[in-house]
Amino acid sequence: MKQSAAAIALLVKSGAASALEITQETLASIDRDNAALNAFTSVFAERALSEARTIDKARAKGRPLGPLAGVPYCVKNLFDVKGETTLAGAAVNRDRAKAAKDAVLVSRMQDAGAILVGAVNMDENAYGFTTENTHFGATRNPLDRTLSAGGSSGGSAAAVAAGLVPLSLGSDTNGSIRVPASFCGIFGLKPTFGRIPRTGSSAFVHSLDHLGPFARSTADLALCYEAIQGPDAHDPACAQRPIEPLSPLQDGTTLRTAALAGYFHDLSDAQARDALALVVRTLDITQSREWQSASKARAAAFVITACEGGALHAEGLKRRYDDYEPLSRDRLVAGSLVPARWYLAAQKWRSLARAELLRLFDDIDVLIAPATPFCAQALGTEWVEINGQRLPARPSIGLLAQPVSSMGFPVCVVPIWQSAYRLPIGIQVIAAPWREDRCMAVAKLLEDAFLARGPN
Amino acid sequence: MNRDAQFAYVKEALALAQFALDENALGRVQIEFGRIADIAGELLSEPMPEDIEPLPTYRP
Repeated sequence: MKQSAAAIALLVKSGAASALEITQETLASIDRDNAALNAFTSVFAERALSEARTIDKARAKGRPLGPLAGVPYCVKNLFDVKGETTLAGAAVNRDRAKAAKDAVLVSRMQDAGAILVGAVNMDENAYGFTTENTHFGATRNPLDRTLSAGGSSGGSAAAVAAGLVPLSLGSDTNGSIRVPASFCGIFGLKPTFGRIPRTGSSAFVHSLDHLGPFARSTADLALCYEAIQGPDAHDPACAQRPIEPLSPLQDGTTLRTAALAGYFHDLSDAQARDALALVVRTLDITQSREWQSASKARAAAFVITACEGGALHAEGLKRRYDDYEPLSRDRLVAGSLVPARWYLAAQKWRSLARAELLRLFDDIDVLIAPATPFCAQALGTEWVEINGQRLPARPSIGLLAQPVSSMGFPVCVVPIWQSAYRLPIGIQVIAAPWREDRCMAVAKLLEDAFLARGPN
Repeated sequence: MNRDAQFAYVKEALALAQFALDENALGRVQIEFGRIADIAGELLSEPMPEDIEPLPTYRP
């Protein structure tokens, strides 16, 4: 299923294909290919076929169809799906009660006509960047199955990159949409904090959790983003802003763009630097900016994540420590012990760093930086070297993503393929709060220049 | 807080919170706490204006 979401919706609306045929084909692909990837943890065949029949009946009766009519998609398994157990990647959640209703985003996707085909793998409780899940297995990168798909929304990215579905939903607390998009060579959008309601999804870090889409093209990413945005009174962090459509994507050539230097350059390897340089040349970018507080912003994100995540899971860890993910349980326990003074210092630095980043947008519309310090690494990698610095691999994957998300600014990750390198790497296109339109406009410029694309 | 003080703090804090961990797990948690402390140190080592308000968990 390498057809785009837009093409599928067109086929279904025109009657050239039925939603049922598309869904059956998708389910057959998942059945054939998932064992090698371990992206899906649940397949909702019955629900998917029922949703498809509903779309086909609506068309037969001449009713208007949504913009995603008949488009198959999957969700990270931290989204509530009515009648299913919300795992959030955790074995301890297997005995949770089944969800009484769909998450808000699942309802919105259904309203848009999309077909939910399954839930996909993730790092336990979204605490990780590799989707190496001890209980549910590692998700493998479709570009090379010996490699990590990135995380924590690794299943969401792998399913799209493998062509099993054209769209998926994930979450991003510290980079969990941007890292797997970078590793798997697809587009991902982390909208502004507060843009997308989180109602009906499992929390990890209330201060930092975002939800967002993955796709193989900017057009599909925009379609999905438009379907899921909008206010929701049940998420207190969700801004009560009206829906702000992206389509048609604006002309990015008029935007003032600069590259982020300093911290982002220092922590990028040769491939990441080359990718940024290629984007700079292609867009004819002549300016750079340094965000002095970037390192502080990352440190703040790290402390806040450990602390809020640790507090959230402290009671569970006390009861069932042995059943938690060995890769993250000790940091969660440690995080639950963080003194309040450290946590408040982190939130204060977040205030300062956010104000400084906002000032950079006084005379710039878009900033660009690599999404990850390096491309996808082999599963099980423990240490990496970045420009001569030996660093622990798993936490270092998020070094370039964490500072930005802890500020809540919108970011589109654009997969850059370079002839000198076997694998793609993502570039973050960052805009001021609520300006997802600008991120997407620059992403489309790169796509139109044939620099950015989903996997063949 | 130096490393010994951190380790002692972790042991006491776990006891206060009624966490029962074996010695191996305790050692791993102490190491993780040390990593968090190192990173928090970057935030605590520089003075900051007293009137800075922490960014709230929830923003309207």
